Amino acid sequence: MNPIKKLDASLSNKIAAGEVVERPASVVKELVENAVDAGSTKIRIAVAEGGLQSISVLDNGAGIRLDELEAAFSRHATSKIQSDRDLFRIRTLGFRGEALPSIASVSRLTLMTSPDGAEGGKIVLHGGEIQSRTQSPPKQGTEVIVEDLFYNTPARLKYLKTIHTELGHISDSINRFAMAHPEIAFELTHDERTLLKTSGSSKLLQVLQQIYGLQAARGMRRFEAETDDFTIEGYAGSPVDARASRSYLTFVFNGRYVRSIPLAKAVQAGYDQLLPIGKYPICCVHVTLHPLLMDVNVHPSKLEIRLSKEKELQHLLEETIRGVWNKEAVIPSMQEPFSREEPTVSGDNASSSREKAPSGKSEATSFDFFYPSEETSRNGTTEAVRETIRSQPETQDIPERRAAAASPDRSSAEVQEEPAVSRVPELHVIGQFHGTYILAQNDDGFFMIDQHAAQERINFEYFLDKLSSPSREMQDLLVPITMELSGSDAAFIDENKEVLAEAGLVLEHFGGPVYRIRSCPVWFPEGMEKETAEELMMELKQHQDLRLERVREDAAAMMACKAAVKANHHLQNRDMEGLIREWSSCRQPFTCPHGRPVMIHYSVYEIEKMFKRVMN
Amino acid sequence: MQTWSELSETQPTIARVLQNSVRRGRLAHAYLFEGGRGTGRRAAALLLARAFLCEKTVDAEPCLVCRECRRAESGNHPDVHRIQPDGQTIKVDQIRALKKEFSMRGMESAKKVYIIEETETMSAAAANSLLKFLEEPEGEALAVLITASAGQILPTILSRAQVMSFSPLPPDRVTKALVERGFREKEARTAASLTSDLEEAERMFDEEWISQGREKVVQLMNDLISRPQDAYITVHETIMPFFTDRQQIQTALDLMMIWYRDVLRMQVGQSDAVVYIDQEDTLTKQAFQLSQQKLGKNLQAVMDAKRRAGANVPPQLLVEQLLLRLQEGS
Amino acid sequence: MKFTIQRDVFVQNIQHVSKAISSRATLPILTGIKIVAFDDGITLTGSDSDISIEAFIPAEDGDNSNVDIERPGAVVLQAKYFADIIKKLPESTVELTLNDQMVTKIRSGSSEFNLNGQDPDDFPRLPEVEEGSQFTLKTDLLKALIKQTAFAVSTAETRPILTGIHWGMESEKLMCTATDSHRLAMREAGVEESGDVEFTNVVIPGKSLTELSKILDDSEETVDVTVTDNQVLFKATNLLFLSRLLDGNYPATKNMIPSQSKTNIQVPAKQLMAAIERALLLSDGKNNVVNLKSLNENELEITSVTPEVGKVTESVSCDAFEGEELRISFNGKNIIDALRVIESQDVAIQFTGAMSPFIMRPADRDYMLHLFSPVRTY
Repeated sequence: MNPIKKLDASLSNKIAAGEVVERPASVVKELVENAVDAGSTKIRIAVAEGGLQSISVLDNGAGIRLDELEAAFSRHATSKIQSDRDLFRIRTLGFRGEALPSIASVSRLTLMTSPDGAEGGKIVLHGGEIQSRTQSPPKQGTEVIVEDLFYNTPARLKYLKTIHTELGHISDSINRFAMAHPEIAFELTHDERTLLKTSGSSKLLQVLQQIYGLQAARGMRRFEAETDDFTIEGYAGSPVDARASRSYLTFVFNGRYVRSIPLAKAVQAGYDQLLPIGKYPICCVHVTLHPLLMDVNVHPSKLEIRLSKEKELQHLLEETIRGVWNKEAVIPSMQEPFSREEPTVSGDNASSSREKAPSGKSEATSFDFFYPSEETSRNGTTEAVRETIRSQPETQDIPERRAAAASPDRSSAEVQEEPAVSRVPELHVIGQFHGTYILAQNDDGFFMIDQHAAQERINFEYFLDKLSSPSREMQDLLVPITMELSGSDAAFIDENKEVLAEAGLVLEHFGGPVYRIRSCPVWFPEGMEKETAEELMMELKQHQDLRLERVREDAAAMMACKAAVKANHHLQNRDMEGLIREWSSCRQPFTCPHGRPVMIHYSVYEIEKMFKRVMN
Repeated sequence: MQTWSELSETQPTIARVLQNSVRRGRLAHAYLFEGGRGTGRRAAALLLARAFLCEKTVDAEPCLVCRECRRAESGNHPDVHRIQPDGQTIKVDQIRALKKEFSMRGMESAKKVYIIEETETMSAAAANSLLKFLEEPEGEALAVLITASAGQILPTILSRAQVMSFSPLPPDRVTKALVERGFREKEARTAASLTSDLEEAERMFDEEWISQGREKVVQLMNDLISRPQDAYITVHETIMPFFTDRQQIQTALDLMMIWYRDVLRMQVGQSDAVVYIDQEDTLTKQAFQLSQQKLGKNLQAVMDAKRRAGANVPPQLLVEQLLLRLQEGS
Repeated sequence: MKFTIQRDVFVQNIQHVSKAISSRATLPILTGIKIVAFDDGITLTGSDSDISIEAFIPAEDGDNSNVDIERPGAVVLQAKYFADIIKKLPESTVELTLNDQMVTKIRSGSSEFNLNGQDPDDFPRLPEVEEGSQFTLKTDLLKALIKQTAFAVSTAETRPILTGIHWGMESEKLMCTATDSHRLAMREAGVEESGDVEFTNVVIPGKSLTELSKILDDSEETVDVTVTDNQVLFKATNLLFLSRLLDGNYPATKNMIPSQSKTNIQVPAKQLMAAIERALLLSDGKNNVVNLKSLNENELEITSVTPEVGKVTESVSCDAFEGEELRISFNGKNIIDALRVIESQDVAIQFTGAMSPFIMRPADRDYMLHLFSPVRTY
C-alpha cells in the first residue's frame, strides 16, 4: 500500500465533489471501505443507537504509518491514487481521500492504529480539530471510533430518521460488503447484539445464508460464465423466494457493490416467466472486469458506475441466469410451520434476527424448495434435499452453462430444445379439490396441482411451439374480422402490410378506420384472431421489427390464459390423468407463464411430522 | 329521491335536461354521471332507468309502482344490468358477462339498461371493450356510467357519453340532511362547511371527531386573543396531538379559516350565516377587537399555511409560523 | 293458492324446468321456480334468462288425476331447496298452500315445510304464443336441423353473432345456417304448416338449440315454433322451451358460396372420412392441415406432414372426377365434422381453385351444403 499523500490540487478537483457523510451508514461505509482496502481479513463493526451515539470499526489490516497520521485527516489525502491516470484504473474502494477528514469534521473521532504491531499511535479530533496525539497499544490494524456524529451540525442531525431506519441502512451496507468480500470475516453488532457474523471462509453461499436465511440459501443455484471482457459468478435465488423489491439484487464489480438497473433487468429477464409480476429474485452477482471498462467516479457515494460494453454484460447475465433455471425443477413444498429452526445469525445473539423477521414464525405456512439431484432425477424418483447448506458441487451441467453463456447469440428457443426428460415425478391422481386443484400422490408424498396453471403451462408451450413452427400456412376467413384502428395505427399498418403478410396476417382496408382480417396464420387460435393480430401489430410497433420470440411469448401467454380450464371446473379422473400426463412433458412444468407455481408438494416426512408421528 | 321534481331540488339542470330528453324520447345511448358521493348519482340513474322502462309515465315521471318500476329497484328486472366493483375493481368476468349481454336481445322487450358504478375501476382493456357498444348499441339501450370524476375516465369513453356533472350539495342542504339524521346543528354546520359530500360529512361524526376538533380550534382561536401567551401551549398540547396527519392539519386550517370568516360576517352584520353558531359571543367580541384589515391578513395567513401544508413542510413548524403571523401587530 | 299433487309427476316436471336454472343466476328471482296454479292445471317455470323452460301439469291427464286444485295462485320458490324437498317427501302426494306473506307450506304425510317465496310478478315475463304467428316442425326434423348445423357455430366470444344459428324462413322454406368463419353449414327444410310465416335474421344461440335437442322427447310428433322480437318459442305437448335471440346482423352468407366450379368430384363419404382421420393422426390435434391432390381421374392423394413427426400418404378412389387438376389444403377436422352429419353414401365436392372456398354436399340430396375455406401457404 502506498503511503498517504495529499492529492495534487488538479486531481483533487477532478474528483466529483460532494459530501460523503450523509448519515451514520455513510460513515460506516467509508470506514469499512478503508478497512477493506487495508487488506484486513477481519473487520468488526460496532454501533450504538443506530450509529448516532457511536460507531467503531476495528480491522486487522495494514494500519496507518504513524508519521502520516495527521496527513490522513487533511482533505484529499489518500494513499490510493497517485495521479490522473490512476483515477481510471481504480481497484481499491475508497479512492477519494475524503472520508476521514469529512467524518472527523462532524464528530468526535478517535483513531488508533499500528502498522506493524510494534508501535501504536492514537489521535483524537473534535469537529476536525486535532485534540491530542498519543501512543496506543501496538495492536496490528486500525480502530476508528466515531462518537456524537453531527454534534456540531444540528441541521444534519434533524434530518436523520429513526434509529431503526439508520440501523437498517448500516446493516444493509455491511451485508453488501459481506457479499462482496466473502473472504473477509465481518461482524456487525448493534448495542451489543450481533446482527451479522460471517466466517471469512470465502464461501459466498455461506454469507448469503447468514444474510437471507437458510431457506433462501437452500433455493439458490450457483452460476458462472465468462467472455473476453467479463467473468461473472454468483448465486441466483429460487423464483419462489422472490421479493417485492429490487434491493435483494446485489451486483459486485471487482469487489465493489454497485447499483445497476440495467443489470437488474437482465437478471429478471433471465428468469423468464418464472417470476410473478412485480417480484425480483434474490441474487448476488460478482463481476470481474478490467478496471478500464468501468468508471466509478459518477456519483459521490460511488454506488453507481458507468460501464463500457454494458449491453454485452447484460446479455451474458441474462443468458446465464436463464440457463440456470431452464434445468431446474422448481416445486415449492409445504413446510411444516412450527418445528424447523429459524435460520439464525449466530450463537446467543440470534434473537435480533428473529425480531427483524417476525413473520417467519407467525405465518402458518411458508415455501421451501426441493430439487431432484442429478442422481435421483435420473432414476425417476426425487427426494427432498434436506441437508443444510452445501456448496454446489461442480457437476456436469457447469460446462453446459458455460457453453450457453459463451455464445450468447443462441436464441432461447434453442436453449429450450435441449433433450427434454420429464422433470415431473410420476404421480397418481387421488381426486380433485374445490374443482380447482388436482390431488395426487406417489412414494414421496402428496402433491397438489393447480389445474388452471397446469393447463396454462401446456397451452403456453403449445402456442409457443406453434409460433415457432416452420409451418407457413394461413387460413382464409369466410367472414372477415373487422377491426377499428386509430389514425396512427392505420398509417402504421398501411406501411407494414408486407411485413405482416410475411407473418401470415393479411389485412385489407375497409373504409374509414376499419380494417378487415382476411387471412391469418393457422396457429392463430380460433376466436382470438383479433387479439392475436393486435398483439402482433403492437409488437411490431413497439420494437420496430417483428422479433418473433417476443411476439411468441406474449401471444402464447395471452392465449394460454384464455384457453386454459378455468378454476372451479370439475374434471373426471381420466381428464385429470390426461392433463397431468400432458403437463409432465412440458419443458418448464413448474410455473405457469405468469410465474405462479403449478405444483406444491408435501413429503411423507412432512406429513408425518405434522401428525407428530415423527418428532424431528 | 324518486322523481324528477325531487332531483331538481338538488340538481336542477340535470333533472331538467334528463326529463326533457325522456319526454321527447331523445335519450342519448350513454350517460356519464360524474360527481361526489351523496350528490344523488345512483338515485338519478335508477330514476332514469325507471323513466325509460316504465310504461305508465306521466310527463316523463315514472309511476314507481308498476312491475317495471318495482323490479328496476329490486334488482330483478331482467333487462336492467347493474355492475358494481367486485371488491376493489370491476373484474374481467363481470365485463365478459356484460359483453355477452350486449350480444343478446332483451329478455322482455327491446329496451335494455346498463348501469355501471365506479366506472373508473374498470381496466383500460375492459373499458375499451365497451366502446363499440357505446357507439352503436343494438336495439333501444341506455347505459349510465357512474364515476367520482370524469377525469379518471378514458377519453374514448368520455367522447361517446353525455357527461352530467352532479354539483356538490350546498352547505345548508348538507346541514339539513345531517340534522335530519340526528346530528347536532352546530356540528352539522361545521361538517357541512368542510365538505359537500354527505357520506364524508357523516364520517366526521365517527367517535365525535368533528365535535372534538371543533372545540379545540375554538379554544385556540379564543386563546389567540384573550391569552396570547398560552396559544403556543394550546397548539402543542391540544391542536397538534389531535390533528395528526397532513389531511387533518388541512381540516384544522379550514376550521380556522371558517372562524375568521365568521368574525368577518359578524362585522358586516351577517350573523345568521355564521358556522360557529354557538360561539356568537366570542365572535362578536373578536369582531370588535380585530380590524377588517387584520382579519384579511389572518385569512391570508391561514390560506398560505394551507398551501404550505400541501408541500412538504413539517406540520409543527407550519402551525407555529402561522401562530406568529396571526399574533403580529394584534 | 292451494293444491294437492301427485309427487312423482311433480318431481319429474321440476326436473325438466330445473335444467334452465343456473346456480349463478344474475337476478335473485331466477334462483327460483315459478309455480302458477290455474283451474285446469299447474305451470312450473325455470329460467337463466338465456333459456327458459315452462312445464304444464294438467289437472286431468286422460283418466289420471294429477293435481287437485283448491285455490289458484302463484309463487316463486327457491329451486335449490324446493326440488330436494319434493324429492324426499314421504308420501305419494304433496299439498302446497300459499299464505299471504308468500310463505308456502309444503305438506306430505307427517312432514311439513314452510318455505319463503318471492313475488311471482318479479319473475321475467315470457312472450306468449300468438295464434297465426307459429309454424310446425316434425320433432325428428327439428333435431336433424340442429344436429346438422350446431356443430359449425363459433365457440369464441369475440364475435357473438357467430355463436348462433341463423334461421330464415321464406316461401315455406326454413334455412338454417351456421359458420365459425372457417367453415359453414347450411340446411334447408320445407315447412308444410308454415302459416305464411316469414322472417329473416333470427339468430338463435347454438347452445340453446343443443339444449333443446336434448330435452325434446322423441315420442313427441311435432313442435310448434314461434318467433317473437326477442325470443323464439318451441312448444311441445305440455312443455315450452324459450331462448333469447342474439342481437346484431348475421353476415350475408349467400354470396360466400361460389356459383361456378373448376373441379367436381364425387367420393364415398366413409372412405374419405377414414382417410382424413388417418391423415390427422400425426398432426396431434394441432393444426389439422391436410393436403389433397388429384393423381388422375380416379384417384385422389391425401397427405399430411408434421415436421417433427413424419408424413402420411393416403389414396382415395373417386367415383367421378371432372374439370381441372387439383391441389388444395384445408383443415381436415372441419371436413370430418361435416362428414359426420352427412347421412348419404357419397359426397359431391366442388372446387374453384386452391385459393377459393369449396363446397361439399351429399351427392343425392341438395338440402344440405357445407362450405370450407382453404388453408394457403404464405
